[in-house]
Amino acid sequence: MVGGEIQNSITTKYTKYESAGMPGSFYEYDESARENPDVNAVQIDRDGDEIYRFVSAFTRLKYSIKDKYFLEATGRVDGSSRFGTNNKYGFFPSLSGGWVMSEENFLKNNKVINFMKLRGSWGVSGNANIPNYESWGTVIPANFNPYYNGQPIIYPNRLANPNLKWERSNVYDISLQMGLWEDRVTMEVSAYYKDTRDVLMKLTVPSSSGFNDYWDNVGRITNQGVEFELKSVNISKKKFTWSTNFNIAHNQNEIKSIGDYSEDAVSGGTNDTRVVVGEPVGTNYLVKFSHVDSENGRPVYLDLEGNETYEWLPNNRVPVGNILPKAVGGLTNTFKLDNWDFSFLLYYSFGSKIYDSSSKRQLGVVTDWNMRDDIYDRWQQPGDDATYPRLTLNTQTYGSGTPWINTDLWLHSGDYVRLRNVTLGYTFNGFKFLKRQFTDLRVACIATNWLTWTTFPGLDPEIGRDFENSTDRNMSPNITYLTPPQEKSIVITINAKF
Amino acid sequence: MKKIRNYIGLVLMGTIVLTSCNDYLNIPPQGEDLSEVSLSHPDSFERVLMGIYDVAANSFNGRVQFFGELLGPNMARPNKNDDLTEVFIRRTNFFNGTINSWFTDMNRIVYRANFMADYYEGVDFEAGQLERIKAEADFLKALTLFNQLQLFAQPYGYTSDNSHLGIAIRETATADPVARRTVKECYDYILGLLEGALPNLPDNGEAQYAGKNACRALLAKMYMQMSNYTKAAELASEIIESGEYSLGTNVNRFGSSLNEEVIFGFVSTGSVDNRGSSFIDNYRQDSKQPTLSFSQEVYDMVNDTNDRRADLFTVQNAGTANQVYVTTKHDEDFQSVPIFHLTDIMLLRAECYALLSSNLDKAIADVNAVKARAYKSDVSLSSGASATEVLTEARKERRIEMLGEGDWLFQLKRRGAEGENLTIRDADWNCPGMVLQFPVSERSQIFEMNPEGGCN
Repeated sequence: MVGGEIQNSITTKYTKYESAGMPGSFYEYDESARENPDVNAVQIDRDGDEIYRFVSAFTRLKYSIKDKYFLEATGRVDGSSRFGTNNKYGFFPSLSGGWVMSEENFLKNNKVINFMKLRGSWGVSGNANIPNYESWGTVIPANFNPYYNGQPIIYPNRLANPNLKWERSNVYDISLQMGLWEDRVTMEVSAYYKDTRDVLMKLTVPSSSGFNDYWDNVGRITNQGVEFELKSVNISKKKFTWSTNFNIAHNQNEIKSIGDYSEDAVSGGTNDTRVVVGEPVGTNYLVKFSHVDSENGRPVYLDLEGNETYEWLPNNRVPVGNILPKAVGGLTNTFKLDNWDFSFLLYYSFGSKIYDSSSKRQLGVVTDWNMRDDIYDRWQQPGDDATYPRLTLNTQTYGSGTPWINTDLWLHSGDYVRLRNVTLGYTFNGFKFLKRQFTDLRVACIATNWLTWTTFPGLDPEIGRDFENSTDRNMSPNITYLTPPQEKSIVITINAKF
Repeated sequence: MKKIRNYIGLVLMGTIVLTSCNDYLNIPPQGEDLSEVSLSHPDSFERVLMGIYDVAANSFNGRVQFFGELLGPNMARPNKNDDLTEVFIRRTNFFNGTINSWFTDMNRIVYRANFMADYYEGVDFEAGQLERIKAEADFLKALTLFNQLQLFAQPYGYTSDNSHLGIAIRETATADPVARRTVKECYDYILGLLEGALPNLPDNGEAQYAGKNACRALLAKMYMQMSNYTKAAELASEIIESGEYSLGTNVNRFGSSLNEEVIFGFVSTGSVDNRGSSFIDNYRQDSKQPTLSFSQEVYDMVNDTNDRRADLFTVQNAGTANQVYVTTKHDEDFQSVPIFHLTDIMLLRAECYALLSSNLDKAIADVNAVKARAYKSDVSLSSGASATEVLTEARKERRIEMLGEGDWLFQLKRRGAEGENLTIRDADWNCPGMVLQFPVSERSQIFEMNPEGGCN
């Protein structure tokens, strides 16, 4: 197959200004409007259109032999208006193959394995997910601007990056699918490795450039993971069935390089999640808290050499915790007895840490924030062995010039097991009601999030929060900040077929 | 085989079509002007130059000045401002938002000057126009770099060969991380900018634009910091003897316009064009307790019934635990901001001559001129005053005259670097926290941050 695609997106933007009962026009003194002060005015300005384009050509070759061996090769060239003049195009090939081993003679009549397939692929993918126009340098023209001493000014407002290009990822994956005992048990194990270079990042550029940030291709990130899924029908009788689904996944990523930039080049808002070489994206980068000094109640921190110090210094920040869990997954059991059905889903996450970001304001230096009742466990007199340091209004007591400081005192285990769903249902078959014939009517009660087993001291170890910005969203998945807990609900459903 | 050839042919054809699509994919932002298109006419460069003045005015709007004051001995603890309190207690860290936003603004001056230089070639300037534009841009660049250097690095003389770290200097309009230069390299670079600009700046400019005397004033202050008193006095004399400036009678040089003693400053044209906004926001005291107030020591020093400058200071919340000493200098809706003025230059020359023990008659005259404006009855130095007496009085008048202008700290640091045994508000003049920490965005593999704290 050979194909092509052209995408031309134009977003037209308008700003509408509306006034009521105000004399005069919007932008300049208008004598006629003064004589008619009740005039209602509406003005609509057309802003600059937002335009982007993609041009693509692609081809695909598929080949199979005896429904046993499968081979597929693709190649595509993509061009995007978002990149610099000489870097608009990228070539992205891929190759994949499959082998249905159960069709081979050595497995064909196996009494246990009824299906077995090995699959592998390699491909290069591109990413152009950045705002438009980031490669262009522009100025704000004089007629839009204020002035100095009455003279109009022009100033550069967009830092040009003509070298901006496609982010490229080499992706490898392999999987093995199996069906056992005529698919009473099915399983799949898969693994992937993704090596991304020229990563598109919105970098915090040095302030000495006169700008705050811009998009650039920087560094290298790898992602890798293993996933396993098992489905089984444990009991299958005429009136009773029991089936189980289990899955577990381990996903990790690692920053291999960030060029000349520092850990702070990409930051997750005010939560001290950073980009540290050798660590996952958005790792917690914090000053280590040691203990509360039992004699004076001051917090004691650790410097880079592990020495105790009263001074909270950002230069002593180190990567701590695990932003990503070592394992996540779920276990579902479904039972059916006659017309009754019952199922429950247990969801779990192990091996990650959660940073409780609001704690520094609610359990630290006293400011205009409300304190949490955990603060009862604070140092109050010499000899106290307390979790939290003494109360103070003076930031220097905490070794800082600023009241809200990030330390790993606020980092907690994020392990939990949650009973996500419990469903109990009953199905009425074939009956008449109000002269209407129903084929099926199912009534079910679904309870969601009613039980959670965790040691996390905050509201909820399952974090679903709003973030400060899109970068923060990518960088701070393990941060809670006054985050509302997942809702608990009981829902009754009625499904009727007629 | 034929099919494969067809496929290859189609792919090749597609590639050819795509490469001809380059123009189709060149889509500049709508509603904005491309730099290379805008900067093709001399008028555009004049406007970019005005843009440099504009951002410079917004950076020297009181912020440059209050950072110097807060590190020094003149101020009391700020009122309800964590960022400025960090500066006051000399524990700035690289997350200080007030420093970071100001630092970015300051460096927009540098960026715009470098940016403009990328487009000079091929533009049809009038004779001398390009040289003058470059000279004004270089002066403003030098002004911001020198002020950064003073605030972010230990002073000239801190190490015998000035090999200690200064600031990063960008000579091109780029955003890549840049390493810091040594203080010697920074001084050499900034002096080079100014020496190159001096011949091409206007002889008699308006004070709101850079002229030769503005350049001489900055050079004089730099040479003073380098303890090159001869050179500093020479430059000061050129300014004083140009006869373009007079001290006038008003002891408050802050006002809606730049007054007769201002050599260079940033002008406001109205309340919506207020270039003194950070002065007014932080010092204005006629409607609230301001963020910034002065120490009791300062108030006691100025509270002299014979001194007209005492009227510029008052006590707020007198007799309460919240008693503060505030200034009335900035009780206005908008103000222009003097950067270099005759008082500064006359006292600089007087101090240089006193340190050199030469031209004491001129030094005494300079000090007495400032005193004559300040005091109601005669407290002038006698014509036979010694060099030490001149030095003491010149320094005393400098401190009072320039309270709030962010000057005194650097005088003390210079003296410390010259070997004088002095402390600044109970801390060594060269303790680490006596300089500001750079913004966190400067951190890179090649940029070394300042040590933090360590003053008290």
